[in-house]
Amino acid sequence: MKFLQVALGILTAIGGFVDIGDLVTNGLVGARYGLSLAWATLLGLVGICLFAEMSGRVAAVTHRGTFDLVRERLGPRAGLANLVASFLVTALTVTAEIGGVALSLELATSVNYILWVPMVGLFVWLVIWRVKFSILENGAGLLGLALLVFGFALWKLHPDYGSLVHQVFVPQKPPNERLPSYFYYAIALFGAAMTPYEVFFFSSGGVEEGWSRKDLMIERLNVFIGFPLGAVLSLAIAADAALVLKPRGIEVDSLGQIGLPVAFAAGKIALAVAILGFVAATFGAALETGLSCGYSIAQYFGWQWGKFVRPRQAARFHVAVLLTLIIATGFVLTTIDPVMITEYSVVFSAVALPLTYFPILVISNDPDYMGDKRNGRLMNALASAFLVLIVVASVAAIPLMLWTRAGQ
Amino acid sequence: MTAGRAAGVLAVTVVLVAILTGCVGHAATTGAYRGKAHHSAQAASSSLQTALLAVQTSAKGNLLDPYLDTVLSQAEDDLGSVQQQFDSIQPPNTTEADALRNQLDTLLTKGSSTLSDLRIAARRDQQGEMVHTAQDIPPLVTKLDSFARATS
Amino acid sequence: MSEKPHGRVFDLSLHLLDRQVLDRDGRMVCKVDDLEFERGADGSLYVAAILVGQRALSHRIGGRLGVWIRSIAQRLSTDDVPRIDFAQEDDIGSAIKLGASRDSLGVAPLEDWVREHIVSRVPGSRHESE
Repeated sequence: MKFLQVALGILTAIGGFVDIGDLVTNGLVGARYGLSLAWATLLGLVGICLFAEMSGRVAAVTHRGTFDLVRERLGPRAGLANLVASFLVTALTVTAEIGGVALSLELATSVNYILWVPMVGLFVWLVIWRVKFSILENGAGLLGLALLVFGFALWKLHPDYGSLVHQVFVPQKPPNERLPSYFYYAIALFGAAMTPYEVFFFSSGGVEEGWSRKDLMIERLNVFIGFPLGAVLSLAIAADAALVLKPRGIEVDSLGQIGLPVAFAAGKIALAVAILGFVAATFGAALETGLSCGYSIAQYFGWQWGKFVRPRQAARFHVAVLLTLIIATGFVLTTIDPVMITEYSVVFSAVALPLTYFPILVISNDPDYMGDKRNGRLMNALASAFLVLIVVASVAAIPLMLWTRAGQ
Repeated sequence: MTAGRAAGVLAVTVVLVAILTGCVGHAATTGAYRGKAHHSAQAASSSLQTALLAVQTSAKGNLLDPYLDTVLSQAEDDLGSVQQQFDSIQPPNTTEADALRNQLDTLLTKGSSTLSDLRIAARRDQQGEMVHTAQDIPPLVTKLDSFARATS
Repeated sequence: MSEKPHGRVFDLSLHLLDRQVLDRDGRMVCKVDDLEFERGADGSLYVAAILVGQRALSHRIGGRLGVWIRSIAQRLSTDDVPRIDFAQEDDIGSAIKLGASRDSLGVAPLEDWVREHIVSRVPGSRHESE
């Protein structure tokens, strides 16, 4: 029984790792830079593992959500800055995810994506309103495993694995590419892997599921096995793009291009599985980001939050989620390109990272909250080093965006 | 800096960034115009290659029809907007700029009509017609790529 | 006014302000947005009540943003700032526990309003999630 629980958690973590940001950014970067930016994804992976573990531990030990504690520990003003930054970025991410679901449905049906958008928004809200948290989490995560088909397609392409590995570990910027764009996309990949909402969702989700100290081992296995395997999926998406799209000089600007390598290498059924993966990954992420927007506001103000109580008991929380979804859906309906929204959302995620991650480090270190489960020295050293990296990426993101005109 | 100020600065930054990265420039010099032509050629080549890959995949029996339709429509839209954006740029008053414009425009127009034909054939389920039309793409891509190399 | 147990020293900002307030059933009530003080008979200051809500919080956010929040909140509600008498307080730990039930406190007018006018009208609001 315990084994099943662990397996479920890991599988959910793998399938849930990839969202529209990872799909688009990895596809785009793979087609343009091959695997020479894989190091940025791997770096982001280490970062998210560290901070997800910390925030999960905080939830298990304190039974409180991170935003709740951020305001307590850092005061209402710092907490408000944190809230505003996280909320805006996460709301932008919700918008991107809803757009992603609609685009995936368009690929499956050739019905224009705009027509899907209102339904997607409604469905996201319905699931958040009615479906039990663990079913919501596990369902989306398990279906997201369909993206493993990208690994299957990679195998079918018979790549030179040695050369791929070499590209990953001895990264070389392609000669015709400029350095500023190279680093701009490194930051984008970093932001795609280390999305701010992930850690807040992880901690609030831990409270939703009633984690306690005895669940710490499971929580760590989810993070340290599940997330890395999820990142491997991201790299497979990039590798497929590198092998099929790059030689043809195809620049990725639509979701359809990202799935073409799977069809090319492995056929119709594989493509159908990939589309299922797209829908599951983006829909799951829409649920998570929608909930995260509600969690962050409710926890800051001390409102009752969560799906573990009846909606009537957490009225403001549910209305906050509803309003976020309405605004996000409205934004997608303006017909601004969802892929472009996604590209901006990952870069702005990178910008917001210090504000959202620094408090987690502070709280998971606090003996008053964590007791004997506070960070060890190694964890602190690693996390602090990462914080420096996060600040560098955050500060460099906007200047690079302006300088390279968003990566041209 | 108060939280309010910080939020205000952030909002202004976001708006500025959105505007600056979205702006289509005015190509003041031949060099800048050549750069725009170069990017347009690359983008056009990308759209054509995408369509070609989709058609090849479909011909192998590996692509679902709605997917093919969506990809071809998207490629057609992309190429159309590349041409529209390029044409809307005011070229500098030199013969070189005019020559570049004419050369690229011809290629873009040909590409656009090819992609339209592909989309029509795909929706009519005329696979043979589609494959036949797609044969126009490789030479077009070659010309666009060499144009891109010449203007890089 | 409540009496503190002997020997426990509280740092207001560390142990009281911004803490989550829970009711006797462990349900979330609010945050300690601000505190109200009174002078006792002997002239020393006592914590009289917990102040709740955006108006109370706006004072602690301060600056132009605080003024702005306060003016919006004042437009939305002309009642007094919601308060919880400190006599209701039961325990101070990682959260502030009250001896009363959440529904009897009446410190969340927005929650009540939203529940009445929006959430209750949507089907399924009374049920636990399936």
